[in-house]
Amino acid sequence: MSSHREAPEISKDPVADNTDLYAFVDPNDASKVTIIANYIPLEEPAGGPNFFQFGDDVLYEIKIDNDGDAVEDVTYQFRFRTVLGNPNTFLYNTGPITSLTSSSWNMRQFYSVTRVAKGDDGRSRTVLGTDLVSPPVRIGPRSTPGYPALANAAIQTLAGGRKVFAGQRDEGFYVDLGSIFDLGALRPFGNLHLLPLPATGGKDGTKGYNVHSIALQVPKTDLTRDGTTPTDVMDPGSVIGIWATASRQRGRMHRDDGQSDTAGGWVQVSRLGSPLINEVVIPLGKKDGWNAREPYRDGDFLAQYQDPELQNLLPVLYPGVFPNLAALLAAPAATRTRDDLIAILGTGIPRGVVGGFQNFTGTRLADMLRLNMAIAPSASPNTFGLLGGDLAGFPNGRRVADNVVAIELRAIAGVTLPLVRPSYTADAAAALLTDGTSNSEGYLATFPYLMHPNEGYEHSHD
Amino acid sequence: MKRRALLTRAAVGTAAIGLAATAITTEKVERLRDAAQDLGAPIVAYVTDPANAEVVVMIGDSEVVRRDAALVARLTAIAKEARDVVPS
Repeated sequence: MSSHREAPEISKDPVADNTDLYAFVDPNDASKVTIIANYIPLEEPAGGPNFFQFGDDVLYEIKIDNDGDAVEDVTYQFRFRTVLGNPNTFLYNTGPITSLTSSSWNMRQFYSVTRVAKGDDGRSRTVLGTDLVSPPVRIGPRSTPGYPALANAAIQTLAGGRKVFAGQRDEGFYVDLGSIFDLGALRPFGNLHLLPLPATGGKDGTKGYNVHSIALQVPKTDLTRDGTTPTDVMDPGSVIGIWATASRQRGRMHRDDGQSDTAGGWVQVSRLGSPLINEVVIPLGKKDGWNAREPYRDGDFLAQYQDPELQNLLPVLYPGVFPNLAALLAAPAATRTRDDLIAILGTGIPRGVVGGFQNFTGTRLADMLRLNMAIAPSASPNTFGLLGGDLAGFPNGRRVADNVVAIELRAIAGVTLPLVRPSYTADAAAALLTDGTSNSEGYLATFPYLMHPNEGYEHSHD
Repeated sequence: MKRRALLTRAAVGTAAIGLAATAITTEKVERLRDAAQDLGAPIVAYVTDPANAEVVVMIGDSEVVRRDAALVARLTAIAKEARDVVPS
């Protein structure tokens, strides 16, 4: 998946597991950028009585690099605090929750938002909000009637033209988990697989599941290095790199009373910039280490970007379907480095590769989601983003509906290689690759853009 | 034997032991004691590499790293005792 359960250690710690990261110029206010960091993969909506919530013992952060060194210049920190109203009941709620102040809502969560900015004289911390309420999870028609209004009431306006929401959402990322993890099969091409099955439509493996989202809308001036609004697409200062993290304190001691104490500094246990990097590019033995390190140190993984395992698997799993890719791979690895993938996923695309576009942050390989903020939102978004001729979509940031699975599959299969190696002709099949899924729940037209969560009482999976 | 082997490896590799602030003989003692009283939080000493005499002392969400051979030697001695304790 994008980054759900993508590494051995974090798969055992879902509360701290980054699942997806989105960043885009806000389509309703182009002076602002919306960033959404998702956590907690595959929340079963009926998973009570202790429903999913953010971790009080986790430090959630969204980090921005605005000078191309892959080190954060602006950080937004989120800390959560759970308040139990009545410890003498097993119930999450003792009646319908009709408002965010409803007395029947027993287990509430509040959070703070702090902006940390790096300046010439060190780091400055600004608390943007405290005791902000996170909405209840969506249980069912008796417990959480009128849920959209209930959740919308938890959209908080902060000083400086900022907006924030932290709570449960529908999983907007779509992917055919059942098929892809069954030896790399894509159902629409199942008949062409090494172990063939009939070709069918895709099944969205995340349908009917929820996540927990931290959505933040801030003025572009909050993010640029000089505090101005970017207007020139070709200006390096128009591009920011974004990643999200989760950290835990170094030490945790379990007490004999069932509680625990924590101590020590914050240690990063999860991170996410571009989708599917740790999932697909980083090998199993290095995934945990990758989650713990900072993006500026990603150069150690250059070999995985230059010659990703998946491109080598495609001609094997689909015999005869990718003859040009197979011929390319017959050459020594050092002579066929995937500089297109390095640009798309590791450095940003330099000027001169795609007309009128760049999101280059420098030659340092780093997993960040790169957004050129001078590019206006698209009036008619194409879910294939840059591959579909839409400069406002992935890999220029990432919008909630962008089909990142198909985009990255096609890129790895060779569609983007001619951009840097004009003599290469991509296989016809490469441009058709898809897992055949879409998000049937749709998205919201306004902040926080991800759809209201599926309810426990009535939901369905593919 | 297996349990013994596991405990031995744990003792050689890593020792994480809570201890009283009075056992630390650095200029940070007062600050740590004050912090402990303010926070009401436990103090944890974390020895990752006894041979390097490095100990991480943690309280709340703060930590300091000290190279203190005497302290690490005392903790190592206690860890050796702990290694032989049969879990209840």
